[in-house]
Amino acid sequence: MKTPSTRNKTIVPFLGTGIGLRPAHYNNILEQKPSHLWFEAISENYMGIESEGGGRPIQILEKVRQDAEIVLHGVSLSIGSVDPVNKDYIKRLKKLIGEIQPAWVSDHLCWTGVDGENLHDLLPLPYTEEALNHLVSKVNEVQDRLGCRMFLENPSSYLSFTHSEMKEWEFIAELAIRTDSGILLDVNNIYVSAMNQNFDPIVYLDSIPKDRVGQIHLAGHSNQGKYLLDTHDHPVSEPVWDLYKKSIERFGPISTLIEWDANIPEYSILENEALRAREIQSDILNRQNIPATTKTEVLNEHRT
Amino acid sequence: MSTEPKFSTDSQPSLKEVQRWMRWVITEPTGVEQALQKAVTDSDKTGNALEQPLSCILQYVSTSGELSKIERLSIYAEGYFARILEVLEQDFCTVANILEKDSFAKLVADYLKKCPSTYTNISSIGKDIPRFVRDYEMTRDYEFLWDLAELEWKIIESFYAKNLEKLEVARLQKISEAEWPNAVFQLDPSVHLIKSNWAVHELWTKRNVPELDDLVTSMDEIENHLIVYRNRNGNVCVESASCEKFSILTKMHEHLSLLEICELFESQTQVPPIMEWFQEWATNGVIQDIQISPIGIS
Repeated sequence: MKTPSTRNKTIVPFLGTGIGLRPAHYNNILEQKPSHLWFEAISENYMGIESEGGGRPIQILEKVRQDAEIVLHGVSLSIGSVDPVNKDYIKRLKKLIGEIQPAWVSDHLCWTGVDGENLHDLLPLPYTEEALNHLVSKVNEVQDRLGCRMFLENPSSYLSFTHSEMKEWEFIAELAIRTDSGILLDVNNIYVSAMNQNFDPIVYLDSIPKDRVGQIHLAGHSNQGKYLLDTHDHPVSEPVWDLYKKSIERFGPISTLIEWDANIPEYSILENEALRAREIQSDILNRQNIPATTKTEVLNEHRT
Repeated sequence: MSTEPKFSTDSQPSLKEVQRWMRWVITEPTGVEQALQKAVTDSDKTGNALEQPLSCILQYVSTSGELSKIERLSIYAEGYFARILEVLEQDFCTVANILEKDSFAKLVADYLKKCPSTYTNISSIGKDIPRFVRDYEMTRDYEFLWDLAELEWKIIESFYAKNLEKLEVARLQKISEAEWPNAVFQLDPSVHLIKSNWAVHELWTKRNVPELDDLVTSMDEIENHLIVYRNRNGNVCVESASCEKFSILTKMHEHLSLLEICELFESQTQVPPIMEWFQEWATNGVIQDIQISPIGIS
């Protein structure tokens, strides 16, 4: 992976469409070795538990990696916490990166705990100058320690703070620019947050710098009546597909992942969701006469 | 009493205050409203050491749309607890089935208050459950539950144990007769040897069947020797072992040589089939390595 001094912000691998790597589908993936898909693995699941190593999960991940591209997606970086960077966590993540050689590494723009405690929940930030400066410092430190660019995902949110000094999309854009980091754009999260907090999701999309988006997440949510909950246990909804189309129209070819974390369906259902995403991309790019970048060339260039 | 007290300062809250307050509010087992009431009550005290932050950020939570501030915070509070409960119900499936839903949920809520997670992997969160079950009011009188929780945790540890190359069974044939007495064994890192006075293995094997309740009500003391390990296919196995088998594995784990292990059975009229057991343990991955000492490395 490139060191920070040689990070080229225009080089973002294009992998096509992928699905989350889940135990329920290990056998399908290892037997079928699908060449048309890449996989996103939750980093912590393969870093082991504190008293032990990576165990059975890392064995599986290594096998999958032999035939497919992997992206590592974390949930405990807690980049927005006032706690300092967890150096032990970064060390273990760096070891995993060395073992798996993922296409890139991502986590969430949020905090998950404070004072050493982890709530295992993606918690909201006030979008203040104080928070922005704090995150710039931490993102720079993490990228320096890991020796690679981080991609940070916009979270789904259920509350905001009146003392925020900017909008979420302004915050994310500014953070990415100041730290030369990437954005993992979760289109479902934009939609869920927009419905829960009464803003226009198109404004969000239009405010994200085009050259910062390296990956898109698509997922399902559940309608709780008074709000939408980002549950990742349903197919992608039609409004989110519509927002995805607008995303591709704006950003061009972007590696897209189907997330499905609960009530996990048959493997073929996930494949169909990935296929729909692929067809949408192809259709839009053909209409715009934009070629999808071949993944091998860009990936090798990204890794040198 | 109002749940929106005045702030201790006039300036807007710092990022640290927001996070500490939110952590306090969403981890209260009795809910967000109770957490806010406690903050109000305790902020009236003076001179006492307080657990929660003095400042109260509620007035900075915005309201737009149909949801109230309390409802918005509750989404995070419910998510926090539900996520962890789901993991622990899975990892301690048998204990959860015995205690049934509400009691297990209460145990987890009290556990989190006492042992909040400091782990980055949510799978680590059950590490102190066995010890907690021993001391917890609801379960402290049920000794079998402590051992059962310990077994279920060891299964998790076995799953995540370091991967080392498994012993090639053919290597056993290459060890000469003269070398065998000096053979010292390395057990696979996934191996855990568990001794219990209760039929926890039977409980665990019947964890998802209706007969579990009958087993619990007829629970008697009976010595259990269990081997937990990850086999060559990567699956975690739990096997019941005879006292002798368990004793030999324990001695192997202590790095006694084969000669020293056999000497333990010298006085017995019937010598256990040790070499047959070694073959079995080498085949299923319990033995990870054999070294010949003091002649040299094999």
